Amino acid sequence: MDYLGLFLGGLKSIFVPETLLFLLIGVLVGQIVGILPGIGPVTGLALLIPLTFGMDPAPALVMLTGVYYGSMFGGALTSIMFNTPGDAASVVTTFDGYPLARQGKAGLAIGTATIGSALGGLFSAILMVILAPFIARFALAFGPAEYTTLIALAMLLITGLTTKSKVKSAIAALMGLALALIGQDPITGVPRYTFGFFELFTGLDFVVVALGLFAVAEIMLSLETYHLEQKNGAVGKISKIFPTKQQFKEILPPIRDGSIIGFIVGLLPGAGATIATFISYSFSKKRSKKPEEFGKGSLEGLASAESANNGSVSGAMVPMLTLGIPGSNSTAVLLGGMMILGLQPGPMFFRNNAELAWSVMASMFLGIAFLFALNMFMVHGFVRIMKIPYSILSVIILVLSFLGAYGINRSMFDVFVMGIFGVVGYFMKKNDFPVAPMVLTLVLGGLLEQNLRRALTISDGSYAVFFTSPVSIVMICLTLAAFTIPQLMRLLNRKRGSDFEIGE
Amino acid sequence: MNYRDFAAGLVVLMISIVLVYYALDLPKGLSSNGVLQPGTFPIVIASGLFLLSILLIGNSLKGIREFRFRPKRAELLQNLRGSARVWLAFAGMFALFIAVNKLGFLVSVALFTFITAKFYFKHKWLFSAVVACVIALGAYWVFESFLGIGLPTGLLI
Repeated sequence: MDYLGLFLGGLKSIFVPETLLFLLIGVLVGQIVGILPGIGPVTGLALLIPLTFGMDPAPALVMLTGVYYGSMFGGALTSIMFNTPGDAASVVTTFDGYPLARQGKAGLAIGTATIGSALGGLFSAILMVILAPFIARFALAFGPAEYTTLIALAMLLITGLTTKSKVKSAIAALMGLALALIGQDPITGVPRYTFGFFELFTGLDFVVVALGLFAVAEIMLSLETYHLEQKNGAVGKISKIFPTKQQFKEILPPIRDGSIIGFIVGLLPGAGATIATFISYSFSKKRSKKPEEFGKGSLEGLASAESANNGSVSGAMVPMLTLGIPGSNSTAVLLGGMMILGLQPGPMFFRNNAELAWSVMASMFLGIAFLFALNMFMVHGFVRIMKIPYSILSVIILVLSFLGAYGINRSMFDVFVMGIFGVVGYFMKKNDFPVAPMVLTLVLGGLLEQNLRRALTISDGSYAVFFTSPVSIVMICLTLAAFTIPQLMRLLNRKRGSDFEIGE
Repeated sequence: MNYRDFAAGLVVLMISIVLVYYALDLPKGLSSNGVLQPGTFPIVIASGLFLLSILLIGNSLKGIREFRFRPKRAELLQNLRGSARVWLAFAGMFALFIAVNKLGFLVSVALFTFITAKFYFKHKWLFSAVVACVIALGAYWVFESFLGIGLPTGLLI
């Protein structure tokens, strides 16, 4: 197939007033949720999914994807102006963004971050367009055994990369798997963990759980310190936004490196934007001619962090669209949204919904252009959004979460389930349990069990089926490597007397 | 000793015991034609959770004689106040869910928003009333009229 033709077809199909409007709504909502502290892409996506009920899949999916990458742009603004990252991926942006704002260069910092985000996003979107169809075609050859080993590998990476405490991470992952078991067994119809509740026979709705774990729990957590955070004020005025020609030349290499690092790290399940920004920042610092400026207001540092942040988005989209395996919380919620729209991401998605798949990828280019224009020319308006009192914002989010949970099945039971997961999420965050492994295994748990059982049925119950295909052997080797290499590195580091660990 | 991890480990241990108990009732192993029975996966996961909870409890007991974390009195009070605010908010949220069932969405959300704005966040009367009306009516309009999703109605709207 002519991939350029397919891409141009996808681009053409988004130039419909309805799709363009929802693309603009998506990126604008994304930008706003990125700006508002404590909300982030996951909550933004989960809150917007109910609005897609009854919509055509194309504008709905274009809008949801827009929220995802739009929020990455928005996160930089609060980091620069308030030294308060909107989400974890924007932490590195504060290292140089806030010092620049304190030096009276808030406008330049926002301009540089926007250029870094836009170029990083565009560059990695190109990589996604090149890579995704090939992976999808390759994945068509995957059978249940290959899928089982692939999902197992993804789960192990998610569990291993997300936190310092591997035990807590593994507990969260197993909890997610246990939650995925709730409902009728798909093969025999036996109810599992339904505890007599008829409503649980169809299983837990992923979006309901995500709303509780992210939106509700995050609000509750921020209420704890609400009274202490009232004195934060913005620093500096926004004046000159565009960098000079010389400054632009200086930030191009870190943007290039950041985009590539972001894309590659984004591909890995569980790694995500936060790790990408840290790696890219330290890489750019090593390669810079002025490493001493890093942390004191370096435009290079800022550009490298933002390009990696946005580069990881397209990276994370690749396994989600082509294999149906989300690598991050945001893509997991996006996958949940796609399922609600009646779409099944995975290798067949590119075959059965080729036009839609290409439309989504093409829309990212236009969406990034929208975001660039919005950030460059409407920055003063966005700064005003930061002044909305958190007290009002938290009530709005709670009401929207209620509506989101209720809207899926028009059931108050789901609303109570969301509330319970709000408590669970709060407990997890208070006790340093990572939420990501739980969410991702909840999404992947059903797939894992289904494929494991299919593989065993095909092989008449023989586990040798996992060791006969080259793909599954490679996956098993990678799984073993993912499990043993960090342990070996830790042992080596201990011998050398270093405290550094992967993921730190 | 890490008290938080110890308590968290106990909670996970209790959950895993419940999961193991329920999984034991389900058919396990492989059927004669090689189909994995519905109880196999649950028992593996529940057992894994059980073992990990024991590991977490064990890890939390390391250095049992020394207090790893002893907050100052002021800090402790602040933490307690913060936790109290959160549990009050959770109670308010569940009260809202129950009220929606009994009174309907519009009235319950308006009341909840007003009470939260006025008494929890200490905003002025007029501001709280305006915010309550705007949020409740706005959400009602978007979902009922714009999206066509019928919201719960109780004794009132």
